[in-house]
Amino acid sequence: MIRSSMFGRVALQSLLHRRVSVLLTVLSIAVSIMVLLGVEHIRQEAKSSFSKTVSGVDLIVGARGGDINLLLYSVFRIGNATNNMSWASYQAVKNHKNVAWTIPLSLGDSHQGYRVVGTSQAYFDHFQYGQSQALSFKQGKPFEEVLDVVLGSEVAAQLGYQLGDPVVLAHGISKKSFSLHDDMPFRVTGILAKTGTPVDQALYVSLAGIEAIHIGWQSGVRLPGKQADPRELDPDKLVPKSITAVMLGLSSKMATFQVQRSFNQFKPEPLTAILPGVALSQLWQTMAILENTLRLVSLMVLIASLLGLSAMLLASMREREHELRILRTIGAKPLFLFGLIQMEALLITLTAMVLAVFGLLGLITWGNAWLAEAFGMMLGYHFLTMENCTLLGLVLLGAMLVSFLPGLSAYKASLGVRKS
Amino acid sequence: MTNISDQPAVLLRDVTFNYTSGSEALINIPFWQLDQGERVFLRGSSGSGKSTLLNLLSGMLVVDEGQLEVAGTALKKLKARQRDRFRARHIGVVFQQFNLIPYLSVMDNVLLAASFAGGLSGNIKDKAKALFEQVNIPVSLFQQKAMSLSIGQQQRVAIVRALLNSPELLLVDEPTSALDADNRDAFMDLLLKIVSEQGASLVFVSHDLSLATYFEKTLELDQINRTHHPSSAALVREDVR
Repeated sequence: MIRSSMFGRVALQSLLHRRVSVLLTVLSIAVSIMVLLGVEHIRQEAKSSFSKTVSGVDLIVGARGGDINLLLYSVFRIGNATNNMSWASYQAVKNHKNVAWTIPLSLGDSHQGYRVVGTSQAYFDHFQYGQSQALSFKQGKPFEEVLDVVLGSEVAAQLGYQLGDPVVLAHGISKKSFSLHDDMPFRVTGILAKTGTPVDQALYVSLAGIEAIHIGWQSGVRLPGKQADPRELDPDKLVPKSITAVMLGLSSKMATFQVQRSFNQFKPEPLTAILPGVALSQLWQTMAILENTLRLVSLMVLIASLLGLSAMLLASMREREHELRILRTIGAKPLFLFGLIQMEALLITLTAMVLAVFGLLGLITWGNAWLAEAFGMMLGYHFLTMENCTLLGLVLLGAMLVSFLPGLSAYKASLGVRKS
Repeated sequence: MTNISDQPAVLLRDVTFNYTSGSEALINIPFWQLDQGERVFLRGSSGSGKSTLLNLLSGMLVVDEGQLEVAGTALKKLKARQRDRFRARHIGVVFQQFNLIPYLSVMDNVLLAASFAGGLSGNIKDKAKALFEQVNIPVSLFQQKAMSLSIGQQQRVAIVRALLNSPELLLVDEPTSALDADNRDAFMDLLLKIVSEQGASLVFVSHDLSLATYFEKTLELDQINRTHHPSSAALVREDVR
């Protein structure tokens, strides 16, 4: 007991004695561990928030096109549909015997860079995110009138809208659009609670509303003298000719693949039906190279700093010749000296780890403010997952491994005046 | 178990040693004995094999041929780790300088030696304090780092460390070469007083014959070491010619 505490004390005092070079080594390892943990954490967070963007939707159907493209514009609101699907096709999908509910989506307009989604009441009833969490209203209620609009939480927060405020939509998705639907201002009736998904970054209006603002428009241009009077809008007559995509739920999950096939082979119009889960993982797969490159780079940084540790310890051996000789003279076994060097490497690495963990905590706190503003996402603090702890264990093992050389050098030197 | 007190402190018989095998022996000692409690001044010029002999006596090196016993134990017969343990328990060493681990406190330096001897019992600290008092190391220095001490103080701490485990044999190598005359005399008086109190045998190695006055017995290394190594004296002679 007393002996092992003596051992730790010698190692600690020896490190404190060379505190400048030790501190630099600790910092270099801490930074590299922080990079490694940070990359892993962001990767895991991104993956989990990614897979949480949509839940409870069994199929997404759109005009014939790429699976990932359909997922991107319907769920993530990234990019555009190449084609719309006709209202008749939507009715056919809706009336399929296995389909329990549908959420029609009509995209193409925006407000201050935020996408406008034309949809129905079903969106608030059936759309789910995370672990089957339904959408809820922070304030107000779903749209009822043609010119009612519901805001995602981030839209409301960023643009400072309150219930009852007027909102003018723009044609197209450019933030600097000059084609405003300023003849038909909408009124905010509800604000959704925060979800941490793309839901927060959109505005929701009824399909009739989308139809209404496009009366008198052709090919994205307003034709003079053809506007309707907002007071004379009749929701029953505002039936769209087409929508962009439809999300749907099935009455029986068993039929998923069968229904998917039947939509993919839909005769009147070429359609694409995707399973959101499958498409999500496909999309994630496309990022594998980026993911692996990041991991590789952070691994290289770590290896470099561990080699630095080895070099630092090795370089200190020369100035420690006397010390090693004294230890031998008073009866230290060569193994003690080897262990001493290993212990020092261990202490350095552990200190670096503690620093890295606290550094990352600080970085997350500091970075979240910016992340929330720029991307509407936040990183969690739970980066000490089982996986990452295993990683830390491996780092420790690596430190032991690279300090084998300086340890061996101490061991050999301690055999002292040796016979050649 | 051999009764240690009956044995000579050091016994060498037909001992040879060289760093590189094959060439002529650097150490070749037909016979040399040091009795229990005996104190000897061993004079040798540099290059005469002093350090090598001390390393052999302390078990840092092992003889090639012959018999070398310290307190009745043949060092060659011990395993490496037993030899380390034996050195920690039975042999104290004081070098010219650099005797202490610079970054450890005075007390830790001394206790570390005790821990290698396996003797970190409760009263070892009291024993250390008593020895510190004898060599005039005040309590205020106990927790000071060894490197903050003067060389004279360091050498005195080194004596305490060497004697803490009550070794049978104390090996001292030019301990005063870094001290001025006053400190040197004080150191020598202290060393011999404390060694005789402890009853340890002492091998004091130096090239400085003026220190021989402290000893009743003086020995030239060349007298016991029969090797014909190129000593520095011989080299000088060759140069002159």
